[in-house]
Amino acid sequence: MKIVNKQNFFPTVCVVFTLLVLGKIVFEYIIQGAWGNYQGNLLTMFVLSVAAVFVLSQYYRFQKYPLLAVILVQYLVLIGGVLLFTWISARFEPIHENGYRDMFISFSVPYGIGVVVYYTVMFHEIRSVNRVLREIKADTAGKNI
Amino acid sequence: MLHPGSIFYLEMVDRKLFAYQAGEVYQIDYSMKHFLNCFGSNGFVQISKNTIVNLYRVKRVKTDLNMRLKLVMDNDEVIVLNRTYKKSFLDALYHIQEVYHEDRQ
Repeated sequence: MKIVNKQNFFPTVCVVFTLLVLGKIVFEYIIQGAWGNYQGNLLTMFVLSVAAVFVLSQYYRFQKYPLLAVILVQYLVLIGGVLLFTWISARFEPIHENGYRDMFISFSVPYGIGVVVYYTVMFHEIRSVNRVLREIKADTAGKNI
Repeated sequence: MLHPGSIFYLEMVDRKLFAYQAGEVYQIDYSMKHFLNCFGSNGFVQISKNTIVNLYRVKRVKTDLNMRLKLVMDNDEVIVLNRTYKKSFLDALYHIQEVYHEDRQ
């Protein structure tokens, strides 16, 4: 039985890479006491990734609501969480004067790109479905289906 | 007797199943599950909790700004495809396409 197949190959690579990076950070901190901006940034990205994926995974609960509203609310929840996390981090380490702005942009731009990609994929899917419907209609024309 | 091919879509209202043709509506003595068991292989697929559609009677698919999928039927009637049922709708559609491709070869 294949544990790693074509479907899960890339997700498995991502999981292994994440575990290695996090393990490296923890290991270096324990053994060498190494902790700086580099380690902090990587850990921040991990925490925010977990939060973002969790919020987006709750999308199925909101199927009855307009999609645009769901996208907007999820964005507001996530950006609120990102800025809150930044504010909490500022209690422990000094934050650059542009820190909040940079975190805002760092999150909003990929999120916006993701929304554009999602809509583009949907439109292409619709076009594909309509092409298939036309083919079926052409094939069944004159037949009593 | 109703011919399945003449049915555009079916809707469950007050626990009664109604079959919609181009201009007529008939109540039929089936449950949704029973109807799908009998005619699922004839192009009928569930698209919402209370609606079954005949894929052969769908003219095209469109969306609104909220990306709600709407099916435009041959008689220009529009019915909404619930996103929960989108995958099964697409699977059924592409299955029919595959069958026709095999028949042609």
